[in-house]
Amino acid sequence: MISTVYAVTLACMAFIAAVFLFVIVNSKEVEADYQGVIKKWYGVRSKWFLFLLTLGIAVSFISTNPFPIPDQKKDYPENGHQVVKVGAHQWYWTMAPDTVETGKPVVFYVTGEDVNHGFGIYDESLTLVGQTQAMPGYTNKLVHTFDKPGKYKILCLEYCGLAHHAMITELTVEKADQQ
Amino acid sequence: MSSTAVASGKVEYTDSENRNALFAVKAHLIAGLSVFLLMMLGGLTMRAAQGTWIEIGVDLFYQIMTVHGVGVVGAAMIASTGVQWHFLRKYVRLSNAIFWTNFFIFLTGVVMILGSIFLGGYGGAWTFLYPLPAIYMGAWSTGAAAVFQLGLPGLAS
Repeated sequence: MISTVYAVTLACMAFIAAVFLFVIVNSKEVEADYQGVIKKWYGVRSKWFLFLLTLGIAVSFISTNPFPIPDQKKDYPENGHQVVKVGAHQWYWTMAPDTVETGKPVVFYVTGEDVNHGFGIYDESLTLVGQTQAMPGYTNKLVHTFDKPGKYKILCLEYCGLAHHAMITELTVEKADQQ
Repeated sequence: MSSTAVASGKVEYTDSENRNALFAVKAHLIAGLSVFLLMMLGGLTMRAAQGTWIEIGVDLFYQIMTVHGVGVVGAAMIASTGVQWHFLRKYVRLSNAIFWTNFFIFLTGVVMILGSIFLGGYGGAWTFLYPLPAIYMGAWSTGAAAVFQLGLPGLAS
């Protein structure tokens, strides 16, 4: 079924692209209105573009350094991480285990058991610390290392029906034993 | 393309064509504005419910959320179509009949969407994220979801 959807989508996109192409090929150049304004503005425009580009790159670099999300593709040694299996249902969570400890990476394997849900982990002040999509037919991996012990809340972040707002559970993070 | 195009590139219409066109543009703009005002009421209702000023059922809340999402998009679509058409017809010969057809397809979409939501109970959000519209835990029916989806292209026309 998905391949049919892809095919239909691609066909529609090709059709729309063809319409645009047809219009471009058949259009003639006309004398633009407000010639003076255009001339003036075009001079500013290229400088403005360079300014925005530089600003964008600078802000991206500063705000993502250090990068706030841990490496999601890294393989951890057997005893170097904790695994939590998460299932999202209309309208409750299954989570095994529901207790983890601080300092050691937790790998959440998250899947949707019926429709799409969103797995969001919130700390005690209800700040989002990590999230991934819970999709039917897929298992998404989320790696997060908890620094602070406490009762974390799991909320659903994707509208999933009439009790979406009530889809809440708790994850307990305990202080790791002294090593 | 058109024999009535003059040297300046502008298209000439008869007076009655212009009157009809202006009427049609106003119809699009008034429809867009009306939907927009209604959606403000919907938004206010949801905020009031979240703030516990009023109490409404969760089914009605998500129905309002659905109509609000589709409504603001629809309002922007119909109003911007009207504005674009108004300016484009000065340079390209456009048909009033097709413009009115667009308006009535839009109205048909509105009726279908309102019916599917407030009669059929559809509350799966306008984003229609599969498979939620089909797995609804008894809150609405497949028929209601289908009517909603069929109404969407009407709204986007």
